[in-house]
Amino acid sequence: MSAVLSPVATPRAITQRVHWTERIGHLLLLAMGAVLGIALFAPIFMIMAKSVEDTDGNFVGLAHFAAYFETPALAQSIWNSVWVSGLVMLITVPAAFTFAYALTRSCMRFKTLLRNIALIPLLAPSLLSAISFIYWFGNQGAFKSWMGETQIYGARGIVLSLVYATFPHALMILITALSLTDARLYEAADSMGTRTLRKFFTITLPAAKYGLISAAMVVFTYAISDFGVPKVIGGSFNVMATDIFKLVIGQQDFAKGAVVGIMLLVPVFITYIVDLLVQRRQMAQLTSRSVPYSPKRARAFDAAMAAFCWLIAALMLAVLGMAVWASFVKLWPYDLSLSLNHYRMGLVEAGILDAYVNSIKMALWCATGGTVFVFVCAYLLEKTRGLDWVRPVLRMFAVLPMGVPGLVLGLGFIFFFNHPANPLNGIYHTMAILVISTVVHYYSSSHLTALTALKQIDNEFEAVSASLKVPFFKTFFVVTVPVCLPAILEISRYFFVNAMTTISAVVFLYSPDTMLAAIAILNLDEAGEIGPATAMATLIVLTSSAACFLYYLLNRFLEVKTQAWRKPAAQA
Amino acid sequence: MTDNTSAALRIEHVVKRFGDFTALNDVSLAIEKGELVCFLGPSGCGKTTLLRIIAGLEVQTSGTILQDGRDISRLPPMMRDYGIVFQSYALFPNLTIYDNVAYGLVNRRLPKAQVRARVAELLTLIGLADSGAKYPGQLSGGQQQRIALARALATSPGLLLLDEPLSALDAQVRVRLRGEIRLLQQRLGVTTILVTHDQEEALSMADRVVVMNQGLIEQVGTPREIYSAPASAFVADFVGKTNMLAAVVGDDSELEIGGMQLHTNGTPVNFRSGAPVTVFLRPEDVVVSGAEHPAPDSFAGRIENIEFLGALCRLGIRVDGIATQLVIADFSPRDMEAFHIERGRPVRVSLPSSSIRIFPRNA
Repeated sequence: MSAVLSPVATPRAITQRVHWTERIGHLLLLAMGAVLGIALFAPIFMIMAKSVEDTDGNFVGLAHFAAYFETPALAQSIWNSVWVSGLVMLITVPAAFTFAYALTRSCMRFKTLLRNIALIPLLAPSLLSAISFIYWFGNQGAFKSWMGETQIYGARGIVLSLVYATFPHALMILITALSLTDARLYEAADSMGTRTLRKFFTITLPAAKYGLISAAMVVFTYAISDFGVPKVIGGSFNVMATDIFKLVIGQQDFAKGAVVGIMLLVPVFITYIVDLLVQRRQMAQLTSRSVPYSPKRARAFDAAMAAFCWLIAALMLAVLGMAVWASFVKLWPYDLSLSLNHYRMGLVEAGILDAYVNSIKMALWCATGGTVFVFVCAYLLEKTRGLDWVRPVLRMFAVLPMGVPGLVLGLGFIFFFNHPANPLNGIYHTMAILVISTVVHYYSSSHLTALTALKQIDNEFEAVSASLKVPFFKTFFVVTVPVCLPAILEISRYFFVNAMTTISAVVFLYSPDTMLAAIAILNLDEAGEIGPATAMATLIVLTSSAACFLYYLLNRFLEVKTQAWRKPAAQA
Repeated sequence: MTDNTSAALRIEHVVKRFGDFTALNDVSLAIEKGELVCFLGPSGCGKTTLLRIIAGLEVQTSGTILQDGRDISRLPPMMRDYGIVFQSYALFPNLTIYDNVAYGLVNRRLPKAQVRARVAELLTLIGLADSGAKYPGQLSGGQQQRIALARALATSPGLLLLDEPLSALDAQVRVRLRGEIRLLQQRLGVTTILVTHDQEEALSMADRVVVMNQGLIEQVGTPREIYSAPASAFVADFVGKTNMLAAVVGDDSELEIGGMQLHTNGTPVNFRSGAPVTVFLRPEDVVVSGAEHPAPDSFAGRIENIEFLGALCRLGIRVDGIATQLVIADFSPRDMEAFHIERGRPVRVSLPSSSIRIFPRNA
């Protein structure tokens, strides 16, 4: 009977009707896609366009690129950028690996303290280390004599400063990688009487392999795209990041700036792709059945590890300490008595404290608005249904910013938002554009944090809600947000600290009214006001630390409050 | 397919394709009111996909789903009428047991007192009356799954969907909860679909079992029918333990198994002479007798191994003429002693033709 009735031709696939509550989600998703399209895709596209057209907007092919390579100084910068970043990578990664190894595999004491000291560079703009090294080894530096005939200004200073600045980034990745190892592998090796060194090369290193590659890529990317450090301590040593700045701000040569931007984008994007592939593999390595490794006491090994870590920690503190101390010194190096002159006269009376206030404002906007945007977007992507053609695009948008240097993004923002035909050019030179560029610049890590948290909660919450006729947004507020609150706070903290310390994207976008603290340091340094510069850097470090401490307290409070359901009593 | 109206749920010609892969290939099924139906099959057979299509969580490529005569094929989950329980429980960890069970009720803007009474009633029903203030993490897996059941039943849905609800639990809890769910379902009379890959679960709980394989329904029937009259080789092999013997149909409808001849004694063999077939026989239907008094039509063999399974013993018997495999026979431990069964002992084996089932074999 039915065989006769059923139509022979295959009809179009059935589509489900969309409930109005789901439509809300779809509209939000579309809106967010549009925002990311405007604030990420369009600017990058504009850079590409600018690099192949002349000032009148005519297509000129690769003429700018040809001209670029015929300028020896600019071509030299490419090589400079690459070898300096490579060297930074070769120093930072092994040092950070040893440090991470000590934290995860030894029984030395004060691990938390050491770890926190090693993460200090995250709290300051990268150029703090450059300023500090100038105080240590510069022309008027405390240990100038150590430099002999050579100078700290140039490649040496850049490498030293960037090693300091990139260390915590590599460290965090490597701690995670080393924590993943399955203890049972070591037990199996022990039962076969394997020697320590062999265990290291056959178990530890292979397990951390992807972490090592990932750390190397992150360090390289950071080093090649950093702008503050070479600007402050680079002297006459040119790199691509400073070239862009000089071309765009100094010579107003936007086309050539765009070309350098693309030249910078290429290596960063390659490392980014490598990192992406590697991370996917690392995920596959993780099994829920792994048994965490707990190190055993070994006197000599623990002592050696502790000695190494304390040495690194001492160097870290020396860099930070010098900057802080210098901010209180009356007149370096002639009058070393302490005063608040740099703060009072150099910042307050010079009217530069506004920049600090602006930074806090911007950081708060990023920490609130940015966090909401990132989390809601990740939630809609991960947990709702429908609108399948938008999702892959949005997923790409979410991870793309990691592969785009801040300078390039900032340059794209100029091209796009400053375009006379753009109806949005009203936001150029406002606080809004600073907030948007910063949120976009730091989008990927935040997105991944949100995604990890969302993946850990049951996938069927939305299905259960729908079966109970509860709209998804109610479950979002009642269940998802409370459960993910630690991750949400972490995203918010990350945005706050990075907004306080960032330079690269915003350096093209601020106006006199929206000057930021980190940029003020740069300008003070350029004007030779290095004392007030250290004062401002100290303020930033202080603010970031205070913010981290507040977030920590908030988290602790939350932990206590939600203990009833987060830490269940022994199972019945 | 005679009566179109009485079914609580009617699935008509449902097809689901994921790209080139066909997860469900023209599946039709009617489920009566108050029935507990099990979708049984190996992983990847399409049973969970079918359940998710019924729930509206997946959309079928083509086909119709009718609930109480109403076409729900294109309705989103929010507009369908069912409660669902997942293998992972999917309890909201930050809400108390009370709030979990009340989750769907609160949304209906019922008076507070009514919600409270309903939650209390449900918690009593599942035997966890005192647990309202606790959080899911403080309960055992079995208790959590019962809470999930209460939450799904709270709004008195017309259909209850259970997606491998017991698979994440310990064996003992699983068996106990099996009985509890069945009792509850019968008491409430709620039409229920249970998806499982555990045949014991399906046989012990279901009114009817739907055996699925590779996107097709192989057989629909009561547990007894499924077990004793499997409709296909797949069902016979998937449900219960079976002897599968390769055979060829002989001229007089007898079966040639290895070098042996098995007379079918009038049981019709609907295969032409020379057709390759597979003969199925449950181990408990194999008759083993002593070698001293050979039963007619029995084969000589020797006990090669003995597997002790508690309530019964499973013998592996090497039958002369069947070189490639052992014939498996079940024995109670008591009979084992009476027959002095031990390894190496010669026995006679007969395969009662009334118990065998014959399916075509792809030679």
